[in-house]
Order: sequence, then C-alpha cells, then structure tokens
Amino acid sequence: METLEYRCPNCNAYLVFDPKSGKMKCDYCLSDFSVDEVKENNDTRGKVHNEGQGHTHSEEHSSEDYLCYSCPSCGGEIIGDSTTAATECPFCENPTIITQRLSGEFKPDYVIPFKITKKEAVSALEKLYGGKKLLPNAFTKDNRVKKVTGMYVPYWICDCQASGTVRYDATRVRTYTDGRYMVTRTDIYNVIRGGTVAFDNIPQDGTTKLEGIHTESIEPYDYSEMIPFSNEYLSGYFADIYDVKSGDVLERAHERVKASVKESFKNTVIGYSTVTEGQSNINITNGDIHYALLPVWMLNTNWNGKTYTFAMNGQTGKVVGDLPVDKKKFWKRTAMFFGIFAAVAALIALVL
Amino acid sequence: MKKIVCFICVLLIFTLTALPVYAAKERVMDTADLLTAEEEQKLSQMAQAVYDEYGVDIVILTENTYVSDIQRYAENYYDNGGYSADGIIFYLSMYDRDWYMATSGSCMDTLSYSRLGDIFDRISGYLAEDDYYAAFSNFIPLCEGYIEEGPSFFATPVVSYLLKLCLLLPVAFGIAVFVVFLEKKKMNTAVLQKNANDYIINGSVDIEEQKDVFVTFTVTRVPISQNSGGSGGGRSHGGRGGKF
Repeated sequence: METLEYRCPNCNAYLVFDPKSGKMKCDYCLSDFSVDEVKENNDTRGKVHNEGQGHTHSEEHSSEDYLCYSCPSCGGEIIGDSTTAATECPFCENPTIITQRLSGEFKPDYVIPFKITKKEAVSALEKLYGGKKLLPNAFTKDNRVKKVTGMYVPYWICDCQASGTVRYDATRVRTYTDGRYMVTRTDIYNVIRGGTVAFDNIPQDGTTKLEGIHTESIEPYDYSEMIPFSNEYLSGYFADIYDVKSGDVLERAHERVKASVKESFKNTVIGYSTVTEGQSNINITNGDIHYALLPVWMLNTNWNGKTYTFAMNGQTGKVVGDLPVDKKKFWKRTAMFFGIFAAVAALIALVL
Repeated sequence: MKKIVCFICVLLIFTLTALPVYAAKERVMDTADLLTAEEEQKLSQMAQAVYDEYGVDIVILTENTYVSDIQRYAENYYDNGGYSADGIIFYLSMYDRDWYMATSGSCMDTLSYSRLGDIFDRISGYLAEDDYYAAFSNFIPLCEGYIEEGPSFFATPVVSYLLKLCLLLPVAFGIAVFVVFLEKKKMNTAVLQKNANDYIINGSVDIEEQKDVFVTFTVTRVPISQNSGGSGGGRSHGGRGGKF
C-alpha cells in the first residue's frame, strides 16, 4: 500500500495543513511553507512509502476490506477501513495519506481546504452543549470534546437543468357589505407556469458514514474557495473516499431541484388569496458531476445504544448537533414551568 | 357660623327636591307603543319597588327603529340613562323582533347568562303571542326573585375563582409542556434541506409559459351578525339576547 507524508525540510517533523494561514506548517519548529512550495520542493515533498509487501496482511486484503500497514514513523500498526484515504497513526499521530486510494476513479476533482481550526470547532461544540438544560450530565462527563476530528468528506457536486410546468388552483377572495349582508365573492383561477431553471454545484455526500441529514444541515459551502484537488490539504486530517456512487445521490438531488423549481414558479403566482399546487411535470437533465472533498469537523458519541452526531462545516463554521434528552430532566423542567405558569394563572384568574 | 348653617340648609333643600326627581326616573320606555299608559304605570311601580328594596334598576325599553348592534345599544342606553350601577335593561327591538338583556354591576352575577336564559324561557310564550304586558310583568318579579336569591353557588367569588383556575391550569400545563418541547427541539438541529435554492444559477429562472385563466366564481351572502362585538369600553356588562 502506497502512503504519503510531508516532512519539514528544517527539522524533519511532519507538516500539516493549517486552516488559519492556508499553509503547510511544522508544529515542531513552527516554520511554514505555502502549498505550492511544498509541491515543488523535493525536500518537503511528500515521502512515498511502499508498504504491504512482506506484511502479515496481503495487499489485496488490505485495500478492499480494510487498511492495515505499519506507520513509517514509529512502525506501529495503523488500521483503517475500506474508505480511509487519510488518517493518523494512533500511536505517534503521524499524519498519513493513502495515495493509492486517491488515484484513478477515486481521485477527487476538487477540494475545499479547512478554514476552521480545531480550537474553533471544540469551542463551537462546547457552546452547543452549554445551556442545554435537558442534556444528561453523563453525556459530557468524559470531556470528549477534544476528540472532534477534522474530516474531508466525499461529495458529489452536481449540475442540473430543469424544465417543466406546474399547475395551480388559485382563488381571489373579496368581501364587501351589501346592505345588511356580508358578501364574499371568490374568483377561481387555473394558473399554469412553465419554464426552465439551471442549477450548479448541488452537493450530495457520497459516504455512508455520515447521514444525509447532517451533511445537508451544514450546507452551503462557498465554492469560490474550491480548488483543484491536491494531496497536501489532507495532511493532518482524516479523509474518506466515496462508497456511494454518483448515480445514487442524483435521486435526492433531483428531489431538491424539483422543490426549488416549484418554489421559483410559485413565487410568480401572485395577487391571489389562496394558491394550491396541482399537477406538475418537471424534467431534469443532468450536467457535470464532480467529485470533491469538503471539510467537516465531526464527533460521533454513542449514548444508550444510539449515535449522536455533531458536525460543523469546516469552511463556514455552520454547526449541526444531535443531542440526547434526559427524561428525568424533561419532566422536572415541565414541572418547574408548570409551577411558574400556574402561579401566573392564579393571578390571571383574580383579574378575570 | 351662620353662613355654614345656611349653606347646609340650602344643600339639604336641594337634596330633598332632587331626590324625588331622581326616584321618579323613568324605567319603562315604551317607544314602540306596545303597552297602554296604565300598563306602563304599573310596570314602573313594580320596577320602583324593586329599586326601593334592592337599589337595582330594572329598565324596559321597546323600539321600532333598526339598530345594527343591539347589545352595544342596550348597554349604552343603560350606561347613559343615569341608572344605578347595579341593574338590568331589557331591550326589545320590534324592527326585527330582537331582544337583548344587558346586566350591570352585581346583576352580572345575580342575573347570570344561564339565569337570563331561564327568565326568557318563561316569558317567551307571552312575547310570541304579542302579550307584552304579561311578558314584562312576569319579567320584573323573575328578576327580583334572582336578585333576592343572590348569585348562584357557581357565581360566588371564591367558587368562580376556583372554576376559572381549573380552566386555566390545564392551559398552564399545556404551555409548560410546549416550552419544554421547544427546548427538546433545540437538542437536534439536523434538518434535511427542503430544496436546492442555494444552487440556482443567478438569473437562470426563465418562466416561458404564464397563464392565469379565470374559471368561475362563487358568492356567499351572510347576514351581518349582531351578537358579536364586545362592549365599547367603560363599564363591563353581562347579557344575553336573541330573537322572539
């Protein structure tokens, strides 16, 4: 298995991508180098290691089901799963990129580098926990916030062109008085809107490791900072390759496109009292689909047999969280609020 | 000293002369002319007797003219007629055969909504037969009976407070549950995107077909309701009304 790591030309410690400066940084001697510098300089360029031959696990076995190789730094055994493309040695934290997994059909077209630092991610998570009166005390006890990991998530970025027609039943209601009668006149209209809408860069995640609800929650990404993929940006982070094919995410993308088309059309149905959507016929033509790695800070916590996910857009800082509710606290707080509102009710009853 | 005695004397005379005028205030206004002069006289005396006993004004008003909001009209008539704080006005509008009884002060409790219903049930037969004297001459003693009896058990202050509280407590509980549910909702902020609006290429929305075809229309006519609408500020009233 071919792996890659970046070394500081001054002190030979490893280089990681720094979200703040956008440069490769050596945490040991604090020197930093631009990504281009690293690419061009032979001293800093990633060192390629060929592992696997003579290893206890066969290479085929390694690449298909899971990943197993020894750390080039400390010799410790690193185990990843079938989608790991970048990871770190659990013993010496040496960042490693599995280049073999990032080539051929798995070579990403684009990457958005991390802009949010781990420190910012940790404080965002602490803020999410803070002030949550229903959160079980034990959930945050282990101080797991430090375990937030920076992960490049595989995304399919789809372009689409949609065309179609949508029918609406619309009414216009007027009321006026006629002598001693209130008259309501309802005019009924058949409304039709047809046209086209073009979409670009709809992101749908290509991984089964994160649920769509979480990846969609931290949208949108700012594509102006999306750049052609280069291995350097992965150094110091985890990365996964896709395990959901591009064709399989289109259904969901089309669902969203249809909703947007309907909304765009409906926005032009104006001046009515009520508008009810009727039949619609929307055709979608797929444009380009690109494979990109987008940055996410995430933490999965298992609690009473359920996984709770924290995810943060590694570029914009948008946070989504999923936290357990303590049932006892739930009823305690209900009782407390009931006490407060009952006291208010007692006062209101006096006035009434 | 003399001056003060003089002043008190004058004041006394004024009060004494004013009193009979006040006592003789009109309580039966038969504008629609449903009663004979003699009947009016008798009813006035009955109302006067109730006033002398309980300090409560029972007012009867009949009119032929159209009034859009009989409730407000009856309440205002009572408020502006210089009547006692406690009392009831029974208003008959012959224009559309509407009736309304508006109560004030202690009569809001003694002549509650349900009691007014009972009173009306007992006189509605006479009204239907256009026997207005019988209706009014029964109306006054029926009111007097309830006034004498005092508020019903459910209308006594403590009981009515507890009743109100019983109605409000479930509301308080509902709000408490609602507030905690809002807190619970904040525990999971994950939501699927509803659409792809963020990815619409600027200016790419092109509406080529745009038809708004008028199909038909419907018209409903509803008589303007007269029971709704609260009292127009000032004093609060109870009451009940309908058709006869």
